[in-house]
Parts: sequence; C-alpha cells; structure tokens
Amino acid sequence: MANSGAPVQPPPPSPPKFKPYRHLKTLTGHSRAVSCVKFSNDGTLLASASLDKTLIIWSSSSLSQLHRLVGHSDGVSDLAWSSDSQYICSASDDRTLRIWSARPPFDCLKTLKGHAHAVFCVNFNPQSELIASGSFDETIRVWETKTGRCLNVIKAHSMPLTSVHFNRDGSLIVSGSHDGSCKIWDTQNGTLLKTLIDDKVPAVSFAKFSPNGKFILVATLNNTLKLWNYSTGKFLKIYLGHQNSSYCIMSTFSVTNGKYIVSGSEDHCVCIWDLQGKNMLQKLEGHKDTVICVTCHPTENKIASASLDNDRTVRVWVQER
Amino acid sequence: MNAPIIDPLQGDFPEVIEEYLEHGIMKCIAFNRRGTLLAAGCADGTCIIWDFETRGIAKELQDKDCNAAITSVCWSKYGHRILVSASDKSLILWDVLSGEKIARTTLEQTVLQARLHPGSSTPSLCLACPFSSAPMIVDIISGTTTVLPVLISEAGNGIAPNARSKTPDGSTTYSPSTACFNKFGDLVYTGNSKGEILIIDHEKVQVRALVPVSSGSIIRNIVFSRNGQYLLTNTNDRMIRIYENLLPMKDAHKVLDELHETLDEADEVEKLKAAGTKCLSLVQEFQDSINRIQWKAPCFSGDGEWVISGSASRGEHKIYIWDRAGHLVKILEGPKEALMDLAWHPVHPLIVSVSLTGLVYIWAKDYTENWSAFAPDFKELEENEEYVEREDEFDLMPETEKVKESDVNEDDPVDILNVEKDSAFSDSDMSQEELCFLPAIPCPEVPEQQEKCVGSSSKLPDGNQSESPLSVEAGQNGHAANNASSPLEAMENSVAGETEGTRLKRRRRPSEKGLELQAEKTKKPSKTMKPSAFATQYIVGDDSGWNTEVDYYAWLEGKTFYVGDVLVFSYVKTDHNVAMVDASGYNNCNADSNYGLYDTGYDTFTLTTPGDVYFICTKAGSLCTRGWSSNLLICFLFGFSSRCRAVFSYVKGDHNVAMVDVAGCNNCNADSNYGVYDTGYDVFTLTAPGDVYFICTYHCDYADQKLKVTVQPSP
Repeated sequence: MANSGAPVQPPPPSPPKFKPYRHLKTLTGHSRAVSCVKFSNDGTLLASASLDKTLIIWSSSSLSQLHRLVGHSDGVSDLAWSSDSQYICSASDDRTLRIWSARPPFDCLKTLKGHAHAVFCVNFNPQSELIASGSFDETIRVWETKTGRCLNVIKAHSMPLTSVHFNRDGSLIVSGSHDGSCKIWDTQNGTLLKTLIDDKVPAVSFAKFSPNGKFILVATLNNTLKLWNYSTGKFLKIYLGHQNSSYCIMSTFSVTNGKYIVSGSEDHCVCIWDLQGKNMLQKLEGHKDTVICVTCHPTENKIASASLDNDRTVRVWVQER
Repeated sequence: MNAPIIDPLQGDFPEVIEEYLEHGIMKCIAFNRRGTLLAAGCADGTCIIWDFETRGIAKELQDKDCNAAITSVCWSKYGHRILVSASDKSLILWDVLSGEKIARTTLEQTVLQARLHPGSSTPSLCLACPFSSAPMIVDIISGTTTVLPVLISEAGNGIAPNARSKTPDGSTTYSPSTACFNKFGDLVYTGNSKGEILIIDHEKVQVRALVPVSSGSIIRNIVFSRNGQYLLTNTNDRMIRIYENLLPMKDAHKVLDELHETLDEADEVEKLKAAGTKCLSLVQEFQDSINRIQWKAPCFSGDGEWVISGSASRGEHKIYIWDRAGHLVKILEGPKEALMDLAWHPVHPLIVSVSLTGLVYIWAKDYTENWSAFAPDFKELEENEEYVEREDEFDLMPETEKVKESDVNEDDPVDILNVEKDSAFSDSDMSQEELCFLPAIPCPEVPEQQEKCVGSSSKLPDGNQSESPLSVEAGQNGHAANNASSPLEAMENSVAGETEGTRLKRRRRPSEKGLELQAEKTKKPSKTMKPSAFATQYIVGDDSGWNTEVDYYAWLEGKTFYVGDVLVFSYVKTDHNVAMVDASGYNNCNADSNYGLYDTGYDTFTLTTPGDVYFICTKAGSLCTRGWSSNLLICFLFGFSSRCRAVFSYVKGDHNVAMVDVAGCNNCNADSNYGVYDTGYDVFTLTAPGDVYFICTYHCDYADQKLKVTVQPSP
C-alpha cells in the first residue's frame, strides 16, 4: 500500500530554478538570546521567544512589533502557534507552559503546570485541541487546550527531550531526545509505536514530521540532518555542510517555491538545501551568533531566523524576484 | 495515518473499556463521519458534543423549549448540522459550529429515530420513525411531512400507499417501524411489522420493491453499513440478518425503475417481490442459539467487516462482535447496567456504548507495546520460524562482501507533501469542507474562581448545620514557601476522638443502587439545608489539582463547605489517587477499611452529610527524594478540629524530625528544643494555638526541609 521507496508517479516537473534569498530586515527587541521564531499558520504574524523571559509578536508584513508577551519567570525556549493562528503556547525554563491570545488584548489565558523541570519544546496538534510538551524531566505531557488539563504523562526518554511534534492528522507524536533516540507515540493512549536509533549517533537535537506526515526530519549533534522514513526505519536523504554539534537548532521544510530544507547553523549562517538533490544551495550570512531557529512563511517565499546571545535579533530574508 | 507502523498482529476489534464519558444522563450517541466528534443526547434535552480526541466536551446544544429526553441524534454528511429528536415530539436541527438552532418542528408523535438525508451537506429533509405510526419524510425547515407506506395491501390491487399525508387513525395499529436511507438518500428502506423490507422511492412515495424476511416477524432495526454495501435487520425472532445490496450506489432508484420495466409479473405484489430479489440478497444470519437473546442497537463496524450488537436483556451490558462471515469473535461484558445505544467508530477499532445510567463507555483494543517498538531491527513473528542462515553467515571470512547497508537510493525523489487518500472516505468530494473539529478555545482561568465566589456568597447562614472552616493551617517556612519545588510535608492534621468519617457517595460510575440513593436524596430536600441549586463545585487545589505541590491548608482557608457541595479531585492518573477515609484511616494513612480508592484522574465526591470528611492519596510521592520520606502521603481534612496532630512518616535512617522554636528553625539547630525523633513515624499533638516549627536535622540546612504549622484558636 505504502510505496515507500520507489515512486510510481512520472518524474515530477522540473522544479523552479532556485532564486537566492536576500536580507530584508533585522528585528531587534529582545535583550537576550532569541530561542525561537515562528510564522503563524495564516502567515500574518511572526512570534519570537527569548531567554529574556518574553515573547514578541510581530506583523509579518510590516515587520513591526505588535506586542510583547510578559509573564514567564524564566527564559522561554520554544513557542507554537495554534492552527487558527489565534493562540500561542510558550515553553519556559520556569517549568510551565503558557497559552497566550495572539490577538488583542494579548492575554495569558492559561498556565500549564506539571513539568518537574524546564520545558524545552512544545507543539499544538493540527486540530489545536491538544498541546504536547517535552521537558528536561524526560517526559512528554499532553494537555487539553480548552481546559489546560494534563491528559497524559509519557515517561518518554532517558535524557532531556529536545522536540515534540504532531503528524498531519494528529494521530502520532514524534519526540527527540539527548539520549540519541527518536520515538513515535500514539497520541490517543501514549503507547510507543516505534523507536528510531542510529547506534553511533549522539543526541537528537530536533525532530519534525514532513508536511504529509510520512517522513521525519531529524537533526543530530554531529552536523547532520536526515530525512527518515519512519515506517521502514530507513534514511532517505542526508543533508550535510552546516555546523551543529552543541545547540538544538530547529530546521524546517520550505515548500512555497520548490522544495527545500532550511536550517540554522553554528557558523552563524542559515543553510538552504535542495530537498531532492541534497546539495546546499545557499548560505545566508549576517547573524553574529549561532542561528538557533528558522521558520518559513506558509505562502510567501520568506524565511525568518533567530540567533543567540551575541546577536539577539531576528532576521527576515526574502527571495529575489 | 499511523497505519504503516501499527502492529498488524494485534486484533482489529476492541476488547476492554478504555475510558468512560460522564455528563448528565446520556441516552443515544452518534459519531460524525470522521469519528472526531461524538454527539450524545441527554435525558434533559441537551445534546453534548464530545471532542473524541481529548474526550472533553466541545459544545453543548440546548434549546430552552426542550427539556425532554432525546431519543436520537444524527449528523449531516459533512458534520455541519445535527438533527435531534426528543420525546416531547419535537425535531430540532442545529448548526454545530455556531451552536444555534436552525429549525424546530413538532410532530404528532414522539420520534424514536430521525435520520438526516445523507445526500446533501446542508440537509433539511429527514426521515423520522415515530413511535407508532408509519415513517415519514419531514422537511424540518418548512415543516411539511410525507408519510411513507409501510404495508402492501393483500388485495394485490396495485400499490396501496397507506394513507398518504394523513396521520394514521386508531384503527390502524403499527408497531414501531424502522427505516433508513440508502447511501445517497434516494431510497428509503423500511422494515414493517409483517417482517417485510420495503424499498421506497421517497420522492414518488411509492414502494419499488419488497423483500420478505424469512420468519415474517417484526423488524426492529434496519441499518446500512457505512459504505452502503450491506444492510442489517434485527427482527423479533432474535436474529440479525445481513443482506448484500445489489443495487448500484449511485442512482439506485433509476436502476429500480428500469428493473420494473423488464418485469412482467401480473400481480403487483409478486412484481415487487421479484424486484426485491434483485435488490437484496441474504448473506448471513446471526443469533445466540443457546441463550436466544433479543438484540439491541446492532450496527456495522466502520469498515463493514464486523457486526456488533448489544444484548437487550435487562441489567446486562454485553456486546457481541461477529465477523461478517458469521463467526462470533468476542463478547464484551461491561458493568451490570443495561445497554441503551451502541456505535462503532468510523475509522478506528473503537466501540462506544451507552448504559442505562447515562454513562458512555469507550471500548478499545488492549494495546500492548510490542518489542519491535523498542528495537527498530526487531520483527514480530506470529509463531516460531525455522531460521535458515545464509551460506556464509557464520564464516570467519565472509566470501561475499557485505551487501550495501542501505538499499535506499538516496537520489530517489521523496514526496513530502502529498497524502494518499484515505480509503475509508473514498467518496468524499472535497468541494464541501467538512467540519471535523470545533475550535478549542482556551477558557480563561479566572471565571472558574468567580463562579466559586458567587457560589459561596449565595450561601445562607444556616446555623449549626454548616461546617466550620478548617481551623488549622500549615504554612511553609518563609523562603521555602516561595520555592515551587519545596518539599511538601508528610504531615497530617487530624482530630482526636472525632466522630466517624462521613458517609459520602461517589457520583462517577454509580451503580443502579447508587442511582436509587440519589433519587431518594432529591425526594427529601429537607435533609439538605441548602437548596441543591446553590451547590458549589470545588476543584481541590484549584488549577494545580491534587498533588504534592499544593498547600491544601492554604487552599482550605476561607472556604466553607455545605452539604451538596461537590469536591473534584483532578490529578495525573499515574502519579496519584484519591481515597475517602475515616478518621482512623486518615491518621494511619490507610485506605483499606474505607470507601474505595479512585484513580481515574478526575474523581468527584458530593458531600452528603454534615461532619468531617477526610481524603488521602496513598501513592508513594514522586517527590520522595525531596520530601520527608519515601512514602509521602498528602492528607488534609475538612471541618473543625479542636486538637490536631502532626504525623511525620519517613524512612528511618534517612530522615528525622525535631520540633523546634523559631530560632532553631532559622538556624537549623535542634539542640535547645524538644528532642529529636527518628522512629520513622512520629506523632506530635499540637495543643495550643500558635506557630510550631519542625525540621529534619539532616536536611534542614541545604534542602530546606522544614515546616511551619500555624495552629489557630478554635472559632
């Protein structure tokens, strides 16, 4: 049924020629390292989270600061947008998650308490009725958005978690951890369905499902990004050329004009690879520190990147016309 | 979506009760097309929409004019609308997203079952099966009704549609008849009391074919499978029959018309019967030949591979599962509560059943994690296999070079965007967007407390019946209190020589006896001093819930509890539990002799009589390394106490306990004080109001293991 390896379709129409990205604007506002930046799903807003304990919501068209979300008592490591772009959930070192309204009056609607250590990663499920969070306490917690109730605690890994992500229909959760494994969980009952381990590999610093939910993009702290077919347990593509050996750098798929993999790098660059050819197409220079997070606009050819303490900015990049 | 990594060796049908839903008294249920939402009709006329992913309530639909029990619920094809029939003879059509009523009509009889026309995404036509008259097509917006024929006259003088547009008078007796639309809604399949299936073109109001059921007994239920290929009947002869639908899915009525032209039987009835043989063919019969039980609410599984039915016997919650080939594969046995309704999830192997008590049980596979989930290279085998090793597998010097590790060509293009169409929904035309989820709006945290304030402020001062607030409060020592992770004391305060624990009744999963008691209670309102309408629901620990992180004495402060109030314990099911105990159970942290231990993660207790009530969690605390002991128990009490005791329970050798003065507490010094105890279970009786301090001399300095207890004078 699943034609994992060999494609049956005729060769796809040749992808549009890659047009390089250029710097559009640098967004300053955070007083510490920026840990995460994400476009909302409707593309109108951009949110950034920082170690300065705040989040900032920016307009993605005017790139002006709309609001600063203040409330966490410690640095914020990750943020996630709900599918309808109405809410932001943030994960903080103060062991809590907060749900914020991303529209005026920008209230903090809920504080999710329960993790016994810093919360490192968070994501909504596609229906946005569930929130999954991963923490240094080595558990995944699944929360109900509406009530803020913790529905499930999964003792997931033997080391801190680095990422949690839902697949397209929300039936699976992928988690990555410093213990070097990637695990796939049934959302409904929290049972383990699959473990992916590559023996020699150190920590898994990031894991995310592909847009169709068939593959996982996995970053490991040996300067490697891999596209993994989780049902067969085989690597399909390996992307090299960037530097990533100490930080949990978030990477992403770019699908708006051709298919690319975009990731930050510890050499202060944003790297763009061709999804199919695995060759690096461009290195965007400009940040003054490790690029810890990148995000692609859902419809426009726009990338935003965030950088650490020596830089403290978000840079927005656009494709040349 | 998770199909590729689900273990194929595990069964396809549910086995155990995974969870249950509770809200009011639910009577009937229906899944939306994708199985993401579950609608449930309640005895009080509300229709609850459950989010089946979170198992939380997504919406409540209530019409102020309707407070009669709901008899059936039905979703429109793409889930935008819900049709509800109630026992006050009304039909209500709801818009699900907005929660607004689109239309309401009242018929002359109570409708037992109402089905929306499946062909349209915004249907107004529905098929209603009243209690004792012929099924009818109702246009719920205009209110027009068309009664469908249910009997063919024996005279054979053509078709005699029974009393069109005329409600049946007393002379014609109908037993409850049953009917359903076919997949596209152009035909109606009706089962009548003579044991005949009539296939009716509802636009022409004409019987187009007739299929006699072999026994000729009353047809109680008639149900199509989701794909429209199979039809099921449940008849009074205690038999479930499966028919294969021979007509094409689309334009079935045209095919029937053509069929009629080719038939040349003179007699109309014979002609209809001949047409009937071309419509349905019997493929299987199910019965329990030993017990001969009557069936209730039979239906197909989502994929049509399984057939399930409940037993109609009283006080029995049994669900029979057959495969379509006719083998009984499983009998699910639930609690001793009669089964009211049954549904199989459209996609997953899940069954949902409604019990007489109004609870909805969710049956799921007893999923066990298999070894291959942990080790990626493992392959699960159904049975042992003889392993034939490769010729050179154990050679010291393998002849052939090791085959290339990865058989995946890295240059093959991968498709990260496209999704295979879900075969279960092959017919979905994407022109109309389907409503699968209701927006999950995080409810702000404040209103909950407001509600509480309103509740408590509306309380009447009703004398000695009311319980006094707790007079003991334990606060943590200064800086420790600011630290969220400060150890929670393994401390109990209790009343010496207090009256026996109060009797409480559990609301969740009430037995039938439990229900009777409840009824009794409502009959005697004099027993409760406070009108039940003012009952307040307290979430113990508020948003923090029931766990070792919360200072429950602080939480109790200023709260007064009245009979009828409800205490909700919300906690992580794997970490904690809750038991209501009596005074001695509370003192000894022992839940044995008491009222049961609950561990669902969300337990509700109603205070029924004045007096003290005690709750404990018997689980070993997850904070054992930080707390006083490895077997932390959280205890607290409600009600007034004139004397209280602090009990320290800990691992002997790891900790000790000393009662000290304020200086001793600040300096972590137990010298000048009241002695150091290290038995592992030390009890201090607190006799006078004031502040008392306890420390563990091993851990006071660096782990802040200290505790301040403030004893307040009796009110």
